[in-house]
Amino acid sequence: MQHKILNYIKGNLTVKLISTNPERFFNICAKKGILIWNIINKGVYCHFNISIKDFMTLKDILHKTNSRVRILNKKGVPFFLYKNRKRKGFAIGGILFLMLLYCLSFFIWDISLEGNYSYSEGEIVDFLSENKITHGLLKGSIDCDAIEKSIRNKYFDVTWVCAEINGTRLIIHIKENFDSEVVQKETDPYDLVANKDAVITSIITRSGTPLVKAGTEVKENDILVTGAVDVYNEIGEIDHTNYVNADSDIYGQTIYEYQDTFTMDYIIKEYTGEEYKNYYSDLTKIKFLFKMNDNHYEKYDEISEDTHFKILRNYYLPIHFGNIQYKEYVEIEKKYTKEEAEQIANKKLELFLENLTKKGIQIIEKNVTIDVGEKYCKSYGTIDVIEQLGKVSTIDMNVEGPEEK
Amino acid sequence: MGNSKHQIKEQVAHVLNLPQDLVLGRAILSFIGRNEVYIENYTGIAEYNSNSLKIETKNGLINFKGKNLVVDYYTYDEMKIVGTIDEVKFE
Repeated sequence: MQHKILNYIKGNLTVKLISTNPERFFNICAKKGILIWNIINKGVYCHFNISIKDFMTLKDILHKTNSRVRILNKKGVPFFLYKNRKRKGFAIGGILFLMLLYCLSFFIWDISLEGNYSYSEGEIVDFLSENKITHGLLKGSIDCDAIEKSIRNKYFDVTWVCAEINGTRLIIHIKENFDSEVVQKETDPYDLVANKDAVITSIITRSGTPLVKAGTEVKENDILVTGAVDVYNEIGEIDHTNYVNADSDIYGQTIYEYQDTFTMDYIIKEYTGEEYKNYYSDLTKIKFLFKMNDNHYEKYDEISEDTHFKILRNYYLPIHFGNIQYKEYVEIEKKYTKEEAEQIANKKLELFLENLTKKGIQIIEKNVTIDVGEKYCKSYGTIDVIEQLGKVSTIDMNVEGPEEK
Repeated sequence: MGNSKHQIKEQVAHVLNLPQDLVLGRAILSFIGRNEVYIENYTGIAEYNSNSLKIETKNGLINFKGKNLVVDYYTYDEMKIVGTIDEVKFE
């Protein structure tokens, strides 16, 4: 294949050889290092291919072997250029095209995001366009460091940002922090209080004084572990009180209320099979729509596909093209049967339990009743679980201060 | 004398495990099915038409018979023949 392309660039000839002894001619060619290929014997004469350069050196050999050649076909770039030497417009067009391509490569035509998880691409692209970083910007005017800094300042849970320009693309790599709750380090001493009503099942305290033990029933906002640690003197009296950050693993049994209702009637889309496509192409801001059909459907889905035109991997051009597909559908009203409704209710419950388990909550017991009615399917009940308790509540020193005195 | 010299060469090549194409000038034929054959170590083409092709080597002729035989390329060291090869004969 490579050989063929090279031959085309250099130019080659198909030649007809009229000779009494073609074998001798070929042997001499081979000895002299002249490459010939595609030798076909047609009986009286032979055909073969030869490069232009080698063809010029054939004269001696032809004379020696008493044979003649006639050119049948010319192929290759040199012949193509010679044939089109007078077509100035063509040449100018070609050069202009290359120049345009070169000029377009100075701009950014695509902004893409990698590694984003909770932020959508559109959100960040919108944020960038607020900061005047948009498509069509000169590559030289983009300050990658400034982009990185602005994203880091705007989004706190983005732990790492890297902006790079590759071809005509601006690629922004992002690493997000998946722990959505940022642990705030309190400097003031604090207690741990119950965040809901529960029965304590286990408590292991690392710092602070526990006020509850396993089996204790607590209400919401009751103090579980206090940050106040009393220090006793030799007689057994309180000498003074130290305040620390309470830290403890507290697990308690709590109750989750579960309630879910859905209607027995539902609507499904049924596609009629009627559909058509409109094509469009988009040049920066100008949109050309090739309308094949007018939309006359009452209810339809619109599916659009967009392709950004590019050369090579990273050389995007400001041209989009794509199609919009319209699919007609009719709405059909249906009703769940009793079994179906029960199944759906069970599935919803399972999903709810699964979400609890994912949060690290241990499920002990569930008492959920599914009630399938004429119009609605209700499921309700309670779920007993064991979960981690405790939230931070700072100690108000001013209130406790006077008591000490 | 010439024959015995050839025999010695052959034995030396055999004992020392030397490549026979280098020492004895034997041709190498590599067939790909019956439609393609690569030939190395020849001295020239003796006769060529579309039904038969005779290749000259140091140790005699190799005669290919077949249909639509075409020499795909022909250089000093290697040649490739395409077509339908029916028989190969060493003469």
